[in-house]
Amino acid sequence: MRFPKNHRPPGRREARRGGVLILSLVTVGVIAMLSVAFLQLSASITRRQVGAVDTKLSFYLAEAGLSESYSGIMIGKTGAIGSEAAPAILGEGLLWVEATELDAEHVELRATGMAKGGRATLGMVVRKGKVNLGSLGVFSEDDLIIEGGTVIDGYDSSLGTYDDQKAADPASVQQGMVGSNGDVTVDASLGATTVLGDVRPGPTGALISVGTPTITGATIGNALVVQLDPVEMPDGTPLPGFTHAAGAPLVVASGTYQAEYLHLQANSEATLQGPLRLALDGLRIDPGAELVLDTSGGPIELLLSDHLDVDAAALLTTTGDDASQVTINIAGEATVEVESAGPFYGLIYAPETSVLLASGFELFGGVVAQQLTMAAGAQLHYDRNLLLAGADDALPKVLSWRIIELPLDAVGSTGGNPFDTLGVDPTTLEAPAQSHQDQWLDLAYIPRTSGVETDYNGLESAFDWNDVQTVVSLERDGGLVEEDVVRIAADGGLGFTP
Amino acid sequence: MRPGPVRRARAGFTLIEALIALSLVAIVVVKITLVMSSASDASAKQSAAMTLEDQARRVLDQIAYAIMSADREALFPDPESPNYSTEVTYRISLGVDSGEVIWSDEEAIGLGVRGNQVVWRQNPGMPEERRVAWCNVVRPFMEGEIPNGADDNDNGLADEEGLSFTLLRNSVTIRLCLERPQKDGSTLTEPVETVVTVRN
Repeated sequence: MRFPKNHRPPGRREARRGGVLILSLVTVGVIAMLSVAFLQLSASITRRQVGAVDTKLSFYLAEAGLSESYSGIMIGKTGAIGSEAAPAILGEGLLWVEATELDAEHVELRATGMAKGGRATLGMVVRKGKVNLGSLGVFSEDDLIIEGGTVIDGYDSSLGTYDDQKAADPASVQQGMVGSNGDVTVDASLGATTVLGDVRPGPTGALISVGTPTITGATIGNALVVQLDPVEMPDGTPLPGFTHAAGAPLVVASGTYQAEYLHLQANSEATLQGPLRLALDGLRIDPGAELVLDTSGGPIELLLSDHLDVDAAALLTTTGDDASQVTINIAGEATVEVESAGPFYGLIYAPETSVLLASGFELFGGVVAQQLTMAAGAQLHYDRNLLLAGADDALPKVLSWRIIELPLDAVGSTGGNPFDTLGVDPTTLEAPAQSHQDQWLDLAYIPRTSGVETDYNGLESAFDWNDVQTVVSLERDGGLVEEDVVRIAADGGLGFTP
Repeated sequence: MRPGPVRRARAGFTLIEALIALSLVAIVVVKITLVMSSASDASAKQSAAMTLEDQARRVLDQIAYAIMSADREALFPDPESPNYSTEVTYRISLGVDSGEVIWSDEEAIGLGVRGNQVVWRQNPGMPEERRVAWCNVVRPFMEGEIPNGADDNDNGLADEEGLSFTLLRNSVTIRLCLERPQKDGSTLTEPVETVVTVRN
């Protein structure tokens, strides 16, 4: 049998082709295995990195929640924003803030942010803003009586001395501020009484003029009752009291001290050097004695719990003319009688006791007391620069910030779309600024449109603040939970009472 | 009938043919092996770099979250550029009780004794000290830095080590540099840096 020249048996051709195929398959297989292994590693690392990014996004969302909440507290809201059932939406994530009142002064905030597969919770404790004592001027918790012959005006120590400002422009000292939570009586029956500035009685109080006093400023009442915080004396055992007799001057150097009393006997002299915080049960300055508050090195704070007694022939003076550098805080029901002539630059704060300022006393700064009596001839020059000095205290203060560790089984902490996880529809959610917890508002105000005093009792969300020209009185009742809202609506709430 | 030539033609490869074929196969196999080995090395190096970067980021975040919660007044030491510290001690807020902030026990984050570890310690220096190593591949010096008393890498610090803290007011700059030796004798280096603000 003859075969063609190039003929090869079929079996042998298949065998040689199969060898190449196997080699190729092995090569492809190895490459595929390497690729799969690399892809798995990359995917695992990418998952971790994406997880870290999602956690950071959630962290920033929670921080945004805390920030919005803080802003709300600044303007009288509760601090609560949304809820887990109805969170606020921000970008591709969502957030809510729970607010819990720890006590009258402190609010605990818990902000949760969820973004993609991450969840983070942050905690913050805020001390609510205090009253800016520097804004009150001459103020009393109870009714305030200004007797005949008294002069109250105001200036701004940051622009120069009182005398310079008055000499340059007498109208510039018409910045006095007189206020009370009750009535303010300005009595001019026994002599000319002058208030160059505003007189503001309490929300339910009135301005009572006896005779024809001079009042140059506004006389509309305060919208809110001013809450005066009590003075807290420091803990610890005080040093024994000290009586200083005439002779070499006594110098109390900078620092923090606590003693039972300081008694400056007749014709003695003492200097307190700032920065100084001196807590005493009592301070007594006898006739001819002088107590100098030297603020050239820093501020001085005197805390008194029992008595402040400055004789008419004694001197209580300050070296500087910046009223924000000297504060006399009086705790409890101490007796306060300042008969010295002054001048004295500083702020006297006695929220739980009565203060008597005698006829010759001249104060540059401010005085806030439960009950204030100004004898005829007393002169009070309110320093508006105290407004700035007390501005920090007026803002809410962050006391504590922390990251709250989530339990392993916390909802959303294991990934997944947060909207699906919480079962919420993103199109129905509001932005954080629109998600503050609603409050019941009890408001008396003068609208821009009518100019006639009007009352509003209802949810704040239903009230249009744009129409408010002046607030006469305002009260918020704190947060309302959903059941309350339903109940109020059912009772025909959301009322608007002209 | 002449069957002889036909039998020779069907007998298979000649020796030369077989040798050529084997040589070609060997060349192809060697080439494939080289390519695959090179790909595998590149892949391993790449994944090692990713792992190191991931590790550096995680450790940096861990340090940053701890310092964020710290009390500024209790953050110690208080170095400002060009000085730096390789350890910070701090305490974190646990909340507020009766108006007073509750602070944690003292904690510290810094380089361990071996110099290549980031170590977190609770109650440092006390008998009840607890310590956890967060990482053990810290580079002796920051990338680009050699111990010559000069600022070689132009970051404002001279001879800074693989972990450094610089504080300016309420902000803490954290710099961390990790390194991991490779099979081929090379070294992977991953420098990371962040600035955090102390919240308390």
